[in-house]
Amino acid sequence: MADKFNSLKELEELFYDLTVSLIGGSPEPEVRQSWPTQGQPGFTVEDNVAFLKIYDIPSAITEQQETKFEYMESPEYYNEKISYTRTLNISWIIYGPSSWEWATKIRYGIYYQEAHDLLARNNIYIVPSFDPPRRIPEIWAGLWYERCDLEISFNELIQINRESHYVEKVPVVVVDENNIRTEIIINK
Amino acid sequence: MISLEEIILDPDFVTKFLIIRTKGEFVKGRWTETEKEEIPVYGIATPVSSRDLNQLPEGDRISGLMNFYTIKKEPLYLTRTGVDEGISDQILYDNIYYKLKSVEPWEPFGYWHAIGERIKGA
Repeated sequence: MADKFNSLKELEELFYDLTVSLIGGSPEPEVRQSWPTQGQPGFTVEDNVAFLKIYDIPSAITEQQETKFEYMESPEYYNEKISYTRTLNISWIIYGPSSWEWATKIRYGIYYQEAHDLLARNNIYIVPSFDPPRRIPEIWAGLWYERCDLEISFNELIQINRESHYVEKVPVVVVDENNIRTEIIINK
Repeated sequence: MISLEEIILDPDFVTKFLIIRTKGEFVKGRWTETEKEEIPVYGIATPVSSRDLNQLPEGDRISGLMNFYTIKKEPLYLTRTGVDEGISDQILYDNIYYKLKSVEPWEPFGYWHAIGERIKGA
């Protein structure tokens, strides 16, 4: 049975596509992943660039885990399905003269039906309680760079499957006071 | 203006190293290398700092910095944007890779000076 689990790369690409579609416009907006191993070229004070950061955070529903045993039409194996919810924090760090507008577009666009459907196809659902975009310009080499941050949490359903063996037989050993051993096999 | 190119190529100082220069583009927001150029050059390589051992709970790491000098026609690049987008050059010297962290444009005096940081980690 297929697992439901988005890899980090899949999440990065999913939120890249979502961000590009929510900001819109032509040419396509510059959206970049954070923490590139080798580094990546920077940007100037005039460039509009959104950076994505993705990581797990604890929430009220991340601790519970459900284990379900499912019949697999096999006399030897059954499926053990583990399900839980993880909460993802998506952080948009947006630089440039349009940073505030971009953050605002993401803030309201995240409730569009298309955004919901795209995320739902990947078992991800918004936590509809988040702070508004935060404008925090920063100074670099004598120039103030416009910057606006937005953080939204999402719940993702995780399901992991594994094949497990049924108990086929149980060996029982009885030892009496004279040290006489009797072995009993209990078969399924 | 005086040119110090002659000193950079002086047989008493000169050595050979390799500049590794990459270009790339953003694919789905991820910087992706598209072109890699290896440029053998003659110049000077001297230590800036010792090779330092950092004993961390996760294991030992080595850090270190080297000076690199090249002549005017062999520029050294830091990260750059625009049509020729790329990340900082790396230099392979004595089987160790160094990522350029600082470049001094002494081009009018006939040379480039850069400081590279050892990136192997261990």
